Amino acid sequence: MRTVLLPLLLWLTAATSALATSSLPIDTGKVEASLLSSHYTVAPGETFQIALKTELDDKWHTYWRNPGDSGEPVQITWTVPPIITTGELVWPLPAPIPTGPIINYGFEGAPLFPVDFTVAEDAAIGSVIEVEAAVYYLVCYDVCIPEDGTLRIILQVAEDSELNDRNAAAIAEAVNMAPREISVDAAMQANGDALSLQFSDLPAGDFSNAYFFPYDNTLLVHSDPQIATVGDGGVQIDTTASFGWGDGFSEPQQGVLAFDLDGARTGRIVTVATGSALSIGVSHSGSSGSGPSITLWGAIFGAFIGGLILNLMPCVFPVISLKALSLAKSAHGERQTARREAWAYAGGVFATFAVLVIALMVVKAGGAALGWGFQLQNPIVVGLLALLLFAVGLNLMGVFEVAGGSYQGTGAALAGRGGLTGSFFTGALAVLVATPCTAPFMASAIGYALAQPIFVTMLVFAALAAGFAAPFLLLAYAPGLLTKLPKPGPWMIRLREVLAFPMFAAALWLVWVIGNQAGVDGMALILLAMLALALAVWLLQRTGVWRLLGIFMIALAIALPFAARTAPASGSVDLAVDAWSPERVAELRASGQAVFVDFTADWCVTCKVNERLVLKTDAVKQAFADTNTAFLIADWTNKNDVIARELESYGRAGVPLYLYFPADDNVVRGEVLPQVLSVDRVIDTLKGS
Amino acid sequence: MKTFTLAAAAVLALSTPAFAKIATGSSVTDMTVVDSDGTTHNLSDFAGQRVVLEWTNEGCPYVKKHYNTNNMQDLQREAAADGTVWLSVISSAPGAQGHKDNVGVANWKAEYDAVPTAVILDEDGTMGRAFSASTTPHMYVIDADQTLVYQGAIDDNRSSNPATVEGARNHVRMALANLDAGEPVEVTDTQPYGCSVKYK
Repeated sequence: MRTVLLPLLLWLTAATSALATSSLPIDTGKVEASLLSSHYTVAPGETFQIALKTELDDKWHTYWRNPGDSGEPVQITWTVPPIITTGELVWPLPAPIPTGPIINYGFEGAPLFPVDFTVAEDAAIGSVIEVEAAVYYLVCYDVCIPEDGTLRIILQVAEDSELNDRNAAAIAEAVNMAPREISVDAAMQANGDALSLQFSDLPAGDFSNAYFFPYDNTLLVHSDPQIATVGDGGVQIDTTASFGWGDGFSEPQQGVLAFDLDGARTGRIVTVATGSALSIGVSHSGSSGSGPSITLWGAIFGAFIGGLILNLMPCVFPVISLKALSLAKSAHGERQTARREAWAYAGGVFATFAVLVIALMVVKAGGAALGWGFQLQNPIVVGLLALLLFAVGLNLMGVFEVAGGSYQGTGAALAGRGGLTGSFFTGALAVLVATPCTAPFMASAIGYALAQPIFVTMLVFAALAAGFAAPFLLLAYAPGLLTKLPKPGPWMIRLREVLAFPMFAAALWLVWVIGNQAGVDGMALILLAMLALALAVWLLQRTGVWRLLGIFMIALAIALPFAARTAPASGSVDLAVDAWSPERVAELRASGQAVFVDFTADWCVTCKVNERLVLKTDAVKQAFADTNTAFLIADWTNKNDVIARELESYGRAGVPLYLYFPADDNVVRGEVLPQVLSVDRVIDTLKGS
Repeated sequence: MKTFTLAAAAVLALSTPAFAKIATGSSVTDMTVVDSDGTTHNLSDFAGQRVVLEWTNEGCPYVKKHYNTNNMQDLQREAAADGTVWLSVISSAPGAQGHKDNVGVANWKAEYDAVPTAVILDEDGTMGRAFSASTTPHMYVIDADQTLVYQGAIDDNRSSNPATVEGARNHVRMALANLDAGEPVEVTDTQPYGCSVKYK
């Protein structure tokens, strides 16, 4: 009907010269679309604007020119008379729209899409300008709907142009808010998966939450966070390179750099080319960013504090305080020497940590080559980490000690050397020599680092090294502090023991995480692994066969988390099930399907036993599949009147209740199965024998 | 204190499970999946065979484009004739668009005459996240030695309009043809297009 009416109305409006500066809005479903014109009449040679206005239903969104991980851009095809030249579409500033782990670039609300049109100089006065826009957009919320429509607007060429003030103002504001092109210094580099972009010579604004929307959809991984670091000279964005880097980007790339200006989000179109990194003069205190980078700074700060704590460990503290004491004594009157030695010591510490980071990179690369990802969403990795933290806690409690090894002697000898070499090795070996005490801490840090991108690993270990070296450096500059140091003593053991509890707490939390990932069974596996580990460390204190048994238990403890992968998640039945409702039963039966209804509740032990021993067995699942019987669950865990009424109609006040409705049979009441099920009984019922 | 920070960092890392994208050219991670017949498969079971993974969601207009034109079913038949394993994966969460139980899958296969080797029910999204599947359709080709050789869009016309199937370069068909000819796969990565996967 509308298709007939619309041209008629347009013809009427044109014929009466009552020129329309806004098209009739069309409702395409989730979107009400219309065209706005800045002018009633336009003069020859003049430029005017028409904007597509899309009013989206609440929570629905459409897509930017690069839609991100999914979706499709808004598309407008203009049809204009020959006297009109059509300009470029002005895209509004997009926003990252997350859907689960997916990030889209798009718009919510009522975005305007303005376009410039220019009238030819020789356009005849009085000629009608009919502009037609065929629009297409994918509009998504929980589902996606492609919608389209055709909009028309009619203007006239006149001696004097006449503005539609309201439309002109709305379009001017939209253009003003939209990203416009500016020239900045910019460069980008991809190093493996890591992509870094620097922008300098920037306009005024707050770039601490800067975000880059590339036009090309193969430049960066849209779903990964962008970490912005602000320096004196600009901003750097670190994120993940996408597969477009396989061939490299030889052409400069355009995109929108979004940032905050006077509290509002804004953006500029910038061009960035592959090239060496620009110095943006990062000041370490001045940078920050969105969520992920706060985590990073937290981790770095934590690592620094951790490095400081390492100095207080029973086997580190005496060594360091003695060395510091001797340094202060030997360098008496020679402050310069003391400081040089302190820096050599710090160099040694950093070098050792650097070696460790390189080793980690090798392990990680090796793991990646084997297809082994160190991700925390993998229950195996989380399980091993929980086990590690538990072991660390046991160690801190003093249940067992990590063997020191003979290199402690070597270390002491090297460290004993005088001069800068001696100090360097004291630093290097303070890290290694102290292994019996530092191992637990180092292990936690390594576990964390393996699950992180390599640059995070480097930063965390650098902070750890800085923390470790800091007290010694401080003492070299302020020898007076030496007298203020507490004496080594039993307090150090107590401190170590106290530190065990946060470790246990962290292990506990990881076990809970596994519970979410792999269910109760997975959680039990990890607890079992912990038991095996505790037994193992106790056995290892013994000798002979007991010791061997201990080694076996360790292997067992490490092997157990691997089983967590295959353990089915509790509650998620691999028999495909559906929620019960009287309507659903009717619907399935109408389609000629047999239906089985399981009235159950989480607190109902009989129900759970039946489910575990009968309904979830392979034989029964097979029977369901063979007979194409639908499995509906009526969950009475929480109060539900519909379920209560249904139970009542079968003369029951509670669960379990099992009903079977055969296919192709018009019985109204389902067949009631016994409250205690058996595999044979269920299979017989399903197969109708 | 460090422990707390590490734990806090881990909390954040876990609360936003990252997409663990598998790089094209690397081996696929083994995992256990369950199909709509209740059969359990390990991806490693298919070593020695080519595997095509297809993320699907019946209600998605882009999926409809390829099913209503029989484009997807034709490809499934060609693959089957070639001895290629075809796994259609449904990662829609319960209640979300496209989610199916075993009966729903049977009906859907019958309605569209679809012939995948198996339909994987991935309602908790584990497999989808492991492969970083972001759209429906999102296609993956794994060669006989379990190396991922193609991932991305089904073809190069990123529209929901069924008329655009004709004349588009079908990346999956071409990748399989490359493998048949013993050549390296010509196009290994494209940006997938379609609806977002309706993850939990």
